[in-house]
Amino acid sequence: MRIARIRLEPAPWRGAAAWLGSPRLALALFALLGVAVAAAGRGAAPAGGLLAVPLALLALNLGCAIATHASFRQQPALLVFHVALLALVLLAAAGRLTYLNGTLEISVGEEFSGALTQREQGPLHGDAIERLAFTQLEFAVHYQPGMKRAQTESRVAWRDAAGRPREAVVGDDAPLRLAGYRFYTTPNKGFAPEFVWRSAQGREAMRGTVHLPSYPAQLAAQEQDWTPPGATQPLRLRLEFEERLVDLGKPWILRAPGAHALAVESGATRARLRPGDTLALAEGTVHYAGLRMWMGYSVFYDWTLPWLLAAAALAAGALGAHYLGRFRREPWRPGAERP
Amino acid sequence: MSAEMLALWSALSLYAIAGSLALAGVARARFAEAWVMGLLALGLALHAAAIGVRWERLGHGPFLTMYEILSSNVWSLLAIYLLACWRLPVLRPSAAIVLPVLFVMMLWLATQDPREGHLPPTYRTLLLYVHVGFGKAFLGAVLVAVGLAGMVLARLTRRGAAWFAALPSDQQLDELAYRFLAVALVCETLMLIAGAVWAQDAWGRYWAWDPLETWAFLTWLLLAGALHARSSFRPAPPAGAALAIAVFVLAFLTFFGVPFVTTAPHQGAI
Repeated sequence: MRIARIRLEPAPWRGAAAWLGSPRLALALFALLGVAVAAAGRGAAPAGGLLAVPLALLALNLGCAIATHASFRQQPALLVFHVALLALVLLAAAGRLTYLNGTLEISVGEEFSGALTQREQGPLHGDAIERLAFTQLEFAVHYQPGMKRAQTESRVAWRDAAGRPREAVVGDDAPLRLAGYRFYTTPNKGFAPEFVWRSAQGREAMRGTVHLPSYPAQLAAQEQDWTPPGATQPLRLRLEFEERLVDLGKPWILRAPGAHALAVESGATRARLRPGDTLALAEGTVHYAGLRMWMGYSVFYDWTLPWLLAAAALAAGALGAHYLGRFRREPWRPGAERP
Repeated sequence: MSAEMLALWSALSLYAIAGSLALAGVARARFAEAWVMGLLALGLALHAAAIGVRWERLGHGPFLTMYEILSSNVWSLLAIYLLACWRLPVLRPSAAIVLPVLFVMMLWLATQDPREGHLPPTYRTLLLYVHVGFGKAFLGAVLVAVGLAGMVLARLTRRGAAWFAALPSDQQLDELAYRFLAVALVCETLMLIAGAVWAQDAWGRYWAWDPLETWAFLTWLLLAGALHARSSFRPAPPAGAALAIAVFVLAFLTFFGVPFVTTAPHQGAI
């Protein structure tokens, strides 16, 4: 009886996958990614858009290489390194879809209720930030001689998930963490005159603050235009210090000045207000309640952060283990005996 | 002259003598190994004293000004190189290649203002030491690979072949350089991870493609590509040597060049 010899041909997809996962293609994609990174670094286009194609191609190359190259099955640490790299790319992509970067300014005594002054987010980011709330309490910013900013200590209060009141001091590298969002203090902070505005139409009085430019970054430009709610004529506000806040020769702490006046201009009307003063204008009356401070925060959300760290640490550990195992087999000293 | 400056200048002088001896020794085929290594070790001890005195006086490590960064890098690169030479005697003749590279940094250091800088509040973290430590280990490992690569390339010339005739084959030197590049890749990966964790804390974002991050990633990519090419295609030793030197040049420009062309807060104080 004759037995026919059957030659097993590799499946067509396997040939394509082997080509897509080839080391040569990987090198070409490294070069493509390098060009995209350099272009992104020069600000040619947003980094996310420029890097998406080479990273997607590299992920495909990596996936095909893992599936088709026998060397990965013989070297488990190398396999783990490449799987972790693939996970990093996928996690970074997921992060870009759901992230949020923003900034906000908040006066002492005010409650944050989700409003951001600047906002940049992924297309799948939800509206959870609008349900967050915290209250800004007093803060202190320490300076070294020569206008060099040192520690920032900002007290904040909020209610936790169980409704219990919580309070903490945040600042610099210690953010306030609420529901995955991180609120970091920034170098932006300053003075915030507080007003009570009564319009001439007799509407209900409104209380609020106007944020003057960042202090001491814009020490000599403590003025701001403000149009009261419902009014048409803007007010020009200028803070006039009557005491010295900054002594460049020794350490100091940023605080609101006790002795000061607020110069107000509206058309031909000019006045210097002190806390408690009221100024009558054509469109209403403005009552200067006093000077508060405001703090600027940046807010960041990316749920992938701990997973990115875990994948990166795994990649580094696996890479180290791979090389350790490989170099242990042969001596480091040329000509020496194998250990 | 303060004790710190006296110790630093004494160390730099010893490095210069060691480098001159290494160059002369290689050219005359009589390399005074013990003298070169001994002078470097003595110089390192004095240099460590200079850094230690300054650290004690200012209350923080050499992480801020270009003077501090150059001084600490000259020290760490030489320390790593000396350690590698101690364990692997085959490396010692490469002092004639490595020390002139470091002379560039020493000359640059000599022109820098030694006054103190301001320590930002976000520098009071253990992550600074992890990030900087792995950065120095990365650059040190690449420097050792450059020494080996330089000897391989020098042997392409008749004079270079005579200078380094007593060394093992190009393939063996290339294999050793490959190992140091592999160590460098692990260290750079850990440096980037620690830096990203620190950046998240300090600036509220883990990665933002600022100039230093961009060029550090490009260095990582070139190094990973060089190792990938080395393991996949087995290039000839001179090609592998050229890749090692390209990685060092890019890393050097990243850490010491980018801070001069950007006003971004990330100044690359490794």
